[in-house]
Amino acid sequence: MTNEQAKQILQLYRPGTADATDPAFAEALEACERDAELKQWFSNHCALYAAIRSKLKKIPVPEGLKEQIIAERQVHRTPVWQKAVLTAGAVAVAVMAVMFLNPYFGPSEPHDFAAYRSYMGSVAEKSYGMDTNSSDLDAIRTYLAGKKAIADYVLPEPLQKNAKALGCVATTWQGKPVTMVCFQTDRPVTDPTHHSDLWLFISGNTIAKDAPQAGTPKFEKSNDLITANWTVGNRTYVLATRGDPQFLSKYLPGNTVL
Amino acid sequence: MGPGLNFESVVERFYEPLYQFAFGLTRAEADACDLTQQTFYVWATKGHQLRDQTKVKTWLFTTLHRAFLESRRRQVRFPHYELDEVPLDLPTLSPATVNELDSPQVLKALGEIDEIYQAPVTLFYLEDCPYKEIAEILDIPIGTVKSRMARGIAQLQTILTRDDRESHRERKND
Repeated sequence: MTNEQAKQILQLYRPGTADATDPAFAEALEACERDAELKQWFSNHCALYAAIRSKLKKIPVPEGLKEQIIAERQVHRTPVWQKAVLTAGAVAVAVMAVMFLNPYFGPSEPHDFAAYRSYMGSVAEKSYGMDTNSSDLDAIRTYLAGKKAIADYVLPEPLQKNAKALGCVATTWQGKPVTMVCFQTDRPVTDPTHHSDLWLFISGNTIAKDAPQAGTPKFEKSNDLITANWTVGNRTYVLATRGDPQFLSKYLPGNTVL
Repeated sequence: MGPGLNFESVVERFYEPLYQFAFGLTRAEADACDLTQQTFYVWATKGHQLRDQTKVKTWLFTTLHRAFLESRRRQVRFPHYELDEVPLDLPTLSPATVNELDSPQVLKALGEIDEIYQAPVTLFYLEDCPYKEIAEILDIPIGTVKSRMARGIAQLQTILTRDDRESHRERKND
């Protein structure tokens, strides 16, 4: 084996992996032991591999991704007793799909606005860690901008006036960024560990295909929460709380129709 | 899902390398998150069909790579080259040069190599799988894996060398 042949093989050698015992590299590795120039080249190759690998290994994984994957699976989980019924339904759907020769045959998950509201509502209702705690809305916005999260939102004046900000969370839904600003209303605190009882979720207006297009808030129930949803510019807003539309409307513009 | 494998433990173990692989392919956080989530969704619904539990990692990476290809809806069939057809023309790039760069610069360079080489090169640097498993993940023969890697690595190193020269030139001009 010539040095050039050995280099050609060893350029794909990954130090610290199973390649060390891969017979495909054995002969070339042996050649390194016999030739000083080849050994030097190989040493450089290994160091270069390690340098590039360490840079790529630094790709940051978004905070909350693991929790979101697990949470979404729980949303999709189906009780056992329903599975037989669903299986029959699935067979029928499969037959129809084949009939229509649908090329986009494959798993899909709910991407609609109701699924988004439901997911964000479940985040609000369970324990979550605030990224930053502050009652200063400007400080919250500055923090979010620094994190490159959504920070260009416009808060309804009644919300700013009638609720106290507590902090924020920069999160994602199906990979899309969502900013959650947490507020406290004037209701008595029932959970001493969780003072927030009003949450504003801000996303891009493409968060879901059926996201609201109008600037006037529309009320919708989502699990145990009531939400008001609207879009201004490229931002879609969901304001959520426990209670009824009447209560929520205190934090919305005066022209909101109940 | 196979016995002894619960969903949470599979997510815990593989979500980070899968996300990094997806990011290496897409270089967009939202797309990488979507691909990772879609992969685990498929795992949740079809993972029970996998009988050999030692293949979970390969299965997940294969699923993610297929989802990526599907999302790109590629029409082009890429030619297969064998390793001995690949010229050995690696530039002289030193580890010290790479150490001076930051991660985004290396990622940017990865994004500049021919698309066909991006997945093999990403797996080359990020994952420790044997070549046989990489061939399964990419669904191409092992010889093609190696040839694409070799070409991709050469391109990556050429780009990094070029970027290094340019930044030196800029520093001199400053």
